[in-house]
Amino acid sequence: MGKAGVATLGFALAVLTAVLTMTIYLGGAGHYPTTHLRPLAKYFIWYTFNPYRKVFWAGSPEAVNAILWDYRGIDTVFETTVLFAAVLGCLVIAKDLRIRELVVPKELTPIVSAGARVVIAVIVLASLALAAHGYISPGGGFQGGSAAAIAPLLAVAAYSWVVLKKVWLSTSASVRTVGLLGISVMAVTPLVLHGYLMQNQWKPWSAFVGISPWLGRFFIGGTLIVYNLSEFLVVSMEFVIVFIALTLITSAEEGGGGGG
Amino acid sequence: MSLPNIPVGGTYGLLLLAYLFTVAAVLTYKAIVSKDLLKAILYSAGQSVAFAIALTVLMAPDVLYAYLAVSVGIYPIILLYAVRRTERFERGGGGG
Repeated sequence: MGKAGVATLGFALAVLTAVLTMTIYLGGAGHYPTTHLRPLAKYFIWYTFNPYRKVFWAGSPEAVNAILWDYRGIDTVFETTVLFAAVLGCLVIAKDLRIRELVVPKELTPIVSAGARVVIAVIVLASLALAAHGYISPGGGFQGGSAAAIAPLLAVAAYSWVVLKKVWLSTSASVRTVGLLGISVMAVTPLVLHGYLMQNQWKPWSAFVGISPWLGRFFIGGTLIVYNLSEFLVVSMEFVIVFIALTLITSAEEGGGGGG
Repeated sequence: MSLPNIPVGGTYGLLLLAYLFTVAAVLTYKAIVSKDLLKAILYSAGQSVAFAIALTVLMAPDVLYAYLAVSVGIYPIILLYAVRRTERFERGGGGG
């Protein structure tokens, strides 16, 4: 690219930036967060952790997580169902799953593998914190789970294909089932105790007493911590299952041949 | 009731957003044009990074975490493995 080309590109970028700025400024981007809250946002912020109006409270200071698992809990359950169905479809396609003769690529240097080990540990810890702390700070089950799913992917990239064993598939499927059971049991428990589905806190129209946001001195946010940790297991393991199915499928023509 | 349209971060926030969206648009164009699929994936991940910063400017940290993990972590890695099973360089054919 010549000097004139660079100048033209710079000019085009400047014009594009200016036009985009004007468009957004004049409201072309649609709803834009303003310093003034809309009535719906005010409602949620006012009630989500308001102990003086316990009729509408969710027992969690994080409004987004409260909406996800309390006010609109069934929405999230169906989202989890959609992901589950998608992974199930992926596994059906990969029915005759066979481990290929995995070619061990050239060994990585000790620096790279040691670095990968540290990064994997950090990813797992940070994503676990993201999920377990979801009812207090931004984050939650899906966010933590999808972050945690990166760790095994990185492990495969750093430590060759031998890391992937067929054992992984059954293990991750079992752990996912534990997560799904956690969500289901937590959702149905209030119903059994004469409350409504996915009830979190005490409500005047329901016989269920609700689950206390405090466990002794510790703030656990009622049912939210259970949902978040279960969703963490479900999402991370489902991504791992998809990844294993994608990398280990061998078609009939390919036979057991090595990777290309 | 009509609300005054005072953006978060003022005009600087808007400029930052416009810059990020411009970068994202350029990277998206590069990702589509690139014949090297490996580079296309990297351009696409770069576009996701620009969008992730834009989500920070828009004060949506909950969305940011999910978006960052999926679009910068999982999606490029799965695409990398997908490309590994085909060819790295796109051959001519439709459109040119």
